[in-house]
Amino acid sequence: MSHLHIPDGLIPLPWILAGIGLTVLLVCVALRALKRRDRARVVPRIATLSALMLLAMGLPIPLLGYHLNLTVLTGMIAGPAEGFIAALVVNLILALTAHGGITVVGLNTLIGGLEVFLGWLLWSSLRRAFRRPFAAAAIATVVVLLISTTAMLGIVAGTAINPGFALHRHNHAELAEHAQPADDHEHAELEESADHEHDTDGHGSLKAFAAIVYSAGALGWAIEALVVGSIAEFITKSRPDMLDPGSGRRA
Amino acid sequence: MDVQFIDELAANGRTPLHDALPWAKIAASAALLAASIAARTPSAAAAAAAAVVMFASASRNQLRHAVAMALYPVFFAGLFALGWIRSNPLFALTVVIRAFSAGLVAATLITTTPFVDVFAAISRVMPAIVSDALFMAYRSFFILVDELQDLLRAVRLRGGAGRSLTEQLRTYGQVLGVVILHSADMTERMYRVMIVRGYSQRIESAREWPPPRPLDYLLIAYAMTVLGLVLALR
Repeated sequence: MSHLHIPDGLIPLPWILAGIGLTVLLVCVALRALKRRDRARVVPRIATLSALMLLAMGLPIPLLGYHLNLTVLTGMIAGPAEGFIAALVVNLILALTAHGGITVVGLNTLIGGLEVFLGWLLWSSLRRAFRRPFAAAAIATVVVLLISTTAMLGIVAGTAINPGFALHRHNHAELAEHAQPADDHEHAELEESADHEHDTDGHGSLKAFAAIVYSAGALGWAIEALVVGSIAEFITKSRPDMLDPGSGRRA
Repeated sequence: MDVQFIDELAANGRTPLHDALPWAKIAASAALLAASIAARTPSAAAAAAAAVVMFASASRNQLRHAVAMALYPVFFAGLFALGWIRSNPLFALTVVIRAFSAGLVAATLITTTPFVDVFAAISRVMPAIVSDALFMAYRSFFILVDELQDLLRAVRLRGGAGRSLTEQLRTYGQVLGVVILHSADMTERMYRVMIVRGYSQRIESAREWPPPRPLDYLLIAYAMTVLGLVLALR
């Protein structure tokens, strides 16, 4: 998933502020984790990994209209602290090129940061369980993207930008505004009816939306898994230290 | 997203917007972005969009490139707006117009202001690691793009990436693997250069901006007026 392709003007202000606030908090945590590290080493590594992510995003997959993200690989190489800052750098640059809203940078960084963190965590544990780095990296990628897509759906549901939820809210508002029931009993019936509608339409719509996202996403996850697996195998043969889960340079 | 092309537009363009000071353009863009998002009705959103188009048209023949970039968020806004079309078409229209205006603001800023200048402004409010990484990521991107293009050319000259999609993706994975290995070497070189040049925990921008001119004040006043009007319309 890596970033929400949600433009400015859709996400409600409290979510925008929460996204920015949490991102600032996690950047502080990451900076604290990197405090004792040589900054002259850390900065170029974050920079090149950010550049690699941007580079991968610029590589279109023919016919499918999908682009790679490499956030999981970034987590595998850099660890969560450096990886989170790299996710922020990438999202800032993307937002400036109108690829994802400027106000959505916080939420996008959280999604990217989640992928980086889980990528690092899963790679660290799966690398020992699997003989082939390809399998470990590919499985880690699919699992991470599945989780981050679910997180994205959570944001869509929570912010009510899902068409079904929004439809319900408008209906509900219109009911409340225009119906003007004769008595409390009638009002209660309208409320109940609207609530029932919310349960069925809103839930059904989110389910339909989720079905589309998961089925379309599955193809993207497979592509990303194949590419990240191939990269992991290639790097493990050439520079095994770069992807060594026991490497001390990760924070 | 073609960062190279955007960089070329920003660095080599000669328009009134290119001449304006980066901080003035950033302040004006922030106000216009706020105006675009704050618009609640289609008429207010359209008025904000018209104001943004006027602002962007100061970039003259580059306007079409900025508009093309702004269509990307419009596409995604359109997907969300589809759900509102029957129940509340006016709201759906507002959402799409807002996305266009916001996208055009960002596109105009970045096609008329070099990334380095934008980063220099951002670095004043960002931790040193983040702002330094922004500068270096941007530079690294261009080096790695050249390298990737050379490698892809070599793959094509040797018969292509493969017949099946799986084969192609694995080849692209290995190509990216080579780029990543080279980027590790590049990281090491950058580290040495930073040590030799005495990296003092922050890359200082050497850019000195001239004093503001009437055009800079005009841009900010224009954007603030638009924001004020949109807020008044709410």
